[in-house]
Amino acid sequence: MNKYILVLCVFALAFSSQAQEMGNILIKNGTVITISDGVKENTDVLVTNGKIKKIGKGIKAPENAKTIDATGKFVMPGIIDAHSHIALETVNEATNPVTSEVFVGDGLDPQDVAIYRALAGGVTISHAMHGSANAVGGECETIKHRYGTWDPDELRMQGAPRTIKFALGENPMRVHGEGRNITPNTRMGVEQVFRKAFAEAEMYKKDWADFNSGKTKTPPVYSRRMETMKDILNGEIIIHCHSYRADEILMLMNVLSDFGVKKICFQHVNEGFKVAPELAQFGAGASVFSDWWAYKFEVYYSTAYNAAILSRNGVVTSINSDSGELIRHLYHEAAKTQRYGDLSDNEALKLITINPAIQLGIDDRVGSLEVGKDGDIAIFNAHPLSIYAIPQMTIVDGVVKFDIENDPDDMRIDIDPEEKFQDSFIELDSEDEDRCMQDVFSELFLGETHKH
Amino acid sequence: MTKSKHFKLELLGLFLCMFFVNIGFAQNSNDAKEVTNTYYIKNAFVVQKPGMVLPNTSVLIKDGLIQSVGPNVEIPFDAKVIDADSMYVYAGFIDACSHAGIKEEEKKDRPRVKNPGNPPKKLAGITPQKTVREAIGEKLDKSMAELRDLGFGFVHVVPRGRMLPGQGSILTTGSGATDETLVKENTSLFTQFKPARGMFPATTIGVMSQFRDLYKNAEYSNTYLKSYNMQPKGLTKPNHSAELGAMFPVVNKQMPVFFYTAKVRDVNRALILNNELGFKMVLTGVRQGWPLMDEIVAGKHSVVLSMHLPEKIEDPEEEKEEDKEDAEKEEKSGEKEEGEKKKEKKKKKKKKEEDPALAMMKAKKKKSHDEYVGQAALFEKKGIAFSLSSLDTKTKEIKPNLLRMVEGGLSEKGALAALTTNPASLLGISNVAGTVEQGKIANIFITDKSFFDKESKIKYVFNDGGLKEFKEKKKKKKGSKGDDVSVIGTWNYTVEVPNDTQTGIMIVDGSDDNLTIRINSADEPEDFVDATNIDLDGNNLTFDINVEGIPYSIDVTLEGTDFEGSVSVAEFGSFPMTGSLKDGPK
Repeated sequence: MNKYILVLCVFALAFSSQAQEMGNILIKNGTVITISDGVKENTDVLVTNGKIKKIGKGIKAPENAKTIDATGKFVMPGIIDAHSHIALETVNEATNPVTSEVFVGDGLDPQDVAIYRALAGGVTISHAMHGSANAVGGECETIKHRYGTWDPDELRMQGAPRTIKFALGENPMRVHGEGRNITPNTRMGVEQVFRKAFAEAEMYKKDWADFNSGKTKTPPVYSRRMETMKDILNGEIIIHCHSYRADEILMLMNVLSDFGVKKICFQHVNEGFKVAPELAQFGAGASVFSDWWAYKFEVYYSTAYNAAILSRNGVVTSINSDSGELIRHLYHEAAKTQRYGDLSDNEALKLITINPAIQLGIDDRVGSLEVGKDGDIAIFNAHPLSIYAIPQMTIVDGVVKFDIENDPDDMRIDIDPEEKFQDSFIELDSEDEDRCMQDVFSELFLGETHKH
Repeated sequence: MTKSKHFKLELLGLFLCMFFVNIGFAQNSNDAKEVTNTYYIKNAFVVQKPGMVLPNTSVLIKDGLIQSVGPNVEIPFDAKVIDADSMYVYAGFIDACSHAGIKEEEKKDRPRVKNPGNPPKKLAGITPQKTVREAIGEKLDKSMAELRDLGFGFVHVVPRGRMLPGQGSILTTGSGATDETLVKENTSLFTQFKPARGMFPATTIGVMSQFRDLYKNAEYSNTYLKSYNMQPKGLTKPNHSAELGAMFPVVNKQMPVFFYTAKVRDVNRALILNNELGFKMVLTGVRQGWPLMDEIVAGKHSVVLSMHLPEKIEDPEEEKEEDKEDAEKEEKSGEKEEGEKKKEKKKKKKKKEEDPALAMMKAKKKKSHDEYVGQAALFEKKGIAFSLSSLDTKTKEIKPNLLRMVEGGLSEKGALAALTTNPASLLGISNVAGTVEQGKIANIFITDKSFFDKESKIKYVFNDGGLKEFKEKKKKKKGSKGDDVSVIGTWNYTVEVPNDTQTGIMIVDGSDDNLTIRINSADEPEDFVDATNIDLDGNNLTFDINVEGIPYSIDVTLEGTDFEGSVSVAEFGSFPMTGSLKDGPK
């Protein structure tokens, strides 16, 4: 018993050392865009111990709280990006059409300076995703942009639901079909990869149930791949599926219906506007680009009205970056839906706040300014949908993580003690526009470069 | 040299082989031609263990064991006495994790596999069943002798490879056959976050998953095997793979996993797996572990730090000094000279100094450098009894880096503990190694000054019962009287082997920094072989030759028109070699 207590103590210690920093902050007299409860002029927001304690007028600052004057400024919930690849060492384990056994959270890079750049765009949470090389990719991780830490565990948003990357269409076909002449070589083949994986998982589930109940005596082979597929069948994991064409989107919804899987958000989903009612009926989310297409054959049939059409048809829609550059101005991307589709201010801002939160299953904690939610806040000098808006301050868990008034040139954390300097310019690692297919071609083929 | 013709040196090898087989002599040291196996180290400072130096103390060694240590040890009649006045005796260092003795793998093309998603385990770098014996193969790599010459007496050797290269064993740094140098076999499982090439696991996240998969399956198979062994009736025969079988001691928490975790993210990954699965773990080859110090302390993890350090950055102070000197020089000579150029130069220099972005980056780089160098001191301060590893560290950098760690705040006592008592206890060999105490294996070494003195040199190394003496290399002084004999020319040589004397000629040509050497045997005067790795350091000449697969290393000291030294022949040992100049340079 004593030994047991000791073990518990050690665990408690280990856990406490990973505890995230929680801040106290009072933001005075701003225009507060709550998302869930309208816009409040000249209003204060109080965050204590990392959570929103109070929203109202004339709130007095507690002793230990930092006070920020937001007079003339706009206060909104921290922006959430439902599709990104920042803060990742590795994006694609491209060796198999199904790699549900891997988890990008095992390869988090908290020293990635792209996290700070995202903060400078008001983004407090991103969905660090596996790439799209495989029909079933790896599990993804929802991270909070607590830049400044060495410990990958501090980036994780504890308690966020598990998510996994799926991919339809040309990427898995090219990597596995063209690359190795195995299934999937066609869109039909992609469907069969899903069906086979789910069917195997059902058998796997039964085999283990039989073993655990004593019906069989020899343990089945333990498989991380099948464990994850089984958890999807059990509704424990939200699928985020790379997709473009309407026919394939319908196909995957059919497959999921056959296996009783409900939680899915389609990513990119450029032809989503063609099947918006069907998506709404299924309860599937859609995370889109504002106006980006034609980078690949299957992405030509697209429209900048996509987000507006999906939203107005009742699909929970978000706008994502899939890029270390776009992530810095998602508020611009959201504003485009007012030019293309006439969305209201709140509808447009929902695309980068509460809607991605719903798609990631974290809307009970973030995505709007409400008492009890996390103190993740972005402050702008103008309305965030204005072309003149510049982020002023970004707060995560009540801790200021970006402040335009205190924004040093060099925010790198992990400094190579043997780095070489060049005389005339400083070489910082440049972020590729898109890392969906990172690691794929370097590992499997040589000399090809690809997007998406 | 053609294959049909026989070179006498090859015969020499065969001959030696017969000789040793006949008398059944267990070869131990490459220089061994000893007449006694009893040694008496007289009147030294004996560093018995970290922090304990015994002055005027003698050590008696017999049959490779420390017989006694004390002020009044009697000298046996058959002992070779080493007068060690003012010298220091240390317990042989212990390298807590290394690939020493194992040849580096040749670079091969990426293997092609039919199904990269499920490749053969071996190609995917998963061979936990591989042993150090297999990894070393027939011939011990010279990296082991290099460690020995630095004072290392024991090495925890792990196979080279990718994710799961195999199991570690503890060896002495002797040059005998693996069987003879083994202290403890298959004591650890070596693991790295090193993905396979173009097949699963092709990424670090794949390695994480694969490790969990193997571990869980090993647990299930192991449990099943146990119940089957208790009552096989009615149960299907167990059929686990060799890979899983090799992991049973790990899942039974008998065998520690030495996890190679150089950088902070690898440390984190290993901690994640360890928290999940609960195996015995040693964080190994750690270069950048301080950011996760709190977790390491809280989890009471065993740590082996790397002896690798980043390139040294000179203190900005020193740079400033240089600038000052420059400025002074300028002042002295400057005034009269045309000012134009000078001014411009000064301007440029000033401009460079004033670039604040670059200055800031340089300061950050220096800070980072200091953190790497100061890591060992920080671990000591936190009370972590760490050991040290030579993984990924160049041999010649080991001592300078140890001294840099001490400069960075690590105590000498702490450094010595990290090289002796800590690894001995980590590896479970405290009863035979780690201190200069009676009954322990006499793998010890003697230095002329304290080891941590920059100028200190090793004078003697005892290893597996043998003694190697390091003679000071006399530097050839150019232009000094009578010493001006070049190595260029044709030399007669004689090698004494048991019951035989070999002779021949050696032709040295070229210039001092670009020598060529051709050598023959008197029995086959027409056949010359070309030497490789020729090095002339002062009057010390070393080179290698290879005769039909058998490597010979020659190490001689030139004294005027004569030379004296030895030739080492692969596993057979080393033999005295002498020579004299036949014809000087034309």
